[in-house]
Amino acid sequence: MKLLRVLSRLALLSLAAAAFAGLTRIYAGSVRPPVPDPNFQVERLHRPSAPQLSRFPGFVAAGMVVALFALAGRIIFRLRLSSVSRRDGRPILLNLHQERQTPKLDRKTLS
Amino acid sequence: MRTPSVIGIRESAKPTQWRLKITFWLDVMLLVAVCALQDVSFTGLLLHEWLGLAMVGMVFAHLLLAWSWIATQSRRLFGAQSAREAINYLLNLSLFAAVTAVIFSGILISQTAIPTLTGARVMPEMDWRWDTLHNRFSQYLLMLSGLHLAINWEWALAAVQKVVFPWIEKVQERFGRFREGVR
Repeated sequence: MKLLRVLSRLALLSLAAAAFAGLTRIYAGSVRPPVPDPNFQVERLHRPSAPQLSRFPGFVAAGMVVALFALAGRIIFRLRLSSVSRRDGRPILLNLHQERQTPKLDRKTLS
Repeated sequence: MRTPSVIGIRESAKPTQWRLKITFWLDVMLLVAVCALQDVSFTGLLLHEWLGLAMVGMVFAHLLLAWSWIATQSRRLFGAQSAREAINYLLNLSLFAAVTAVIFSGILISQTAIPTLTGARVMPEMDWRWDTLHNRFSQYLLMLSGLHLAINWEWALAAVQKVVFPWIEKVQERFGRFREGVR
């Protein structure tokens, strides 16, 4: 039963992904991006197949872009949107206040 | 001594803890993968393509773990929704669209992984249109990932504290008990 539920959700997600892939194809058909210059093309066609650790700064730079957007988003969302409680809109409840709730539950069950 | 009800609550919290750990480490892996995939030379073309394909599974797992949120917010899409919820929903939808576009365009220009899986011949000439779009969408993906992190910042912080530094909570608990004892 649980497997069936997971499979149905996967099917739904696949359907949504297929719809977005279709939209991407339509978008690609409607735009004409400029052809990159010959030097860039040569570089793209001769990319190394093995990892190059000397390119680690590129990974760090990508991390910094994420951090920058996270910081900018944090400022914008804090300014523009009301703060949200820790329980609202979270995929998982963290039970942060579980310890405080436990004595209350105990009293209820005991009485 | 603890009463049975307390033990029962503690036992029922165990699956939640596991779920949290899985969700947290999966999210960390996704973030690292998104950053690593930005520079093909860093991972190498072979790893780049296989890691890109592995992201399909990781994204699906991430969405399945957040299914209750997706279902609730989709039902409330046209109903009463706060600005934050609406923006969060739109942001997540854009992120999903960007991931799909990046993976789809990546599959179309694949030179090693897809030919290995399907047995198809490698295209002799690069499709520059899809290559350009693949780069463009991957840049959007990076930006949207940052914004996704921003809007879920409190959850991420709480998860880091729970999963990576659980001792902080234990210290806080003990300190709280100590303060109650003093009173």
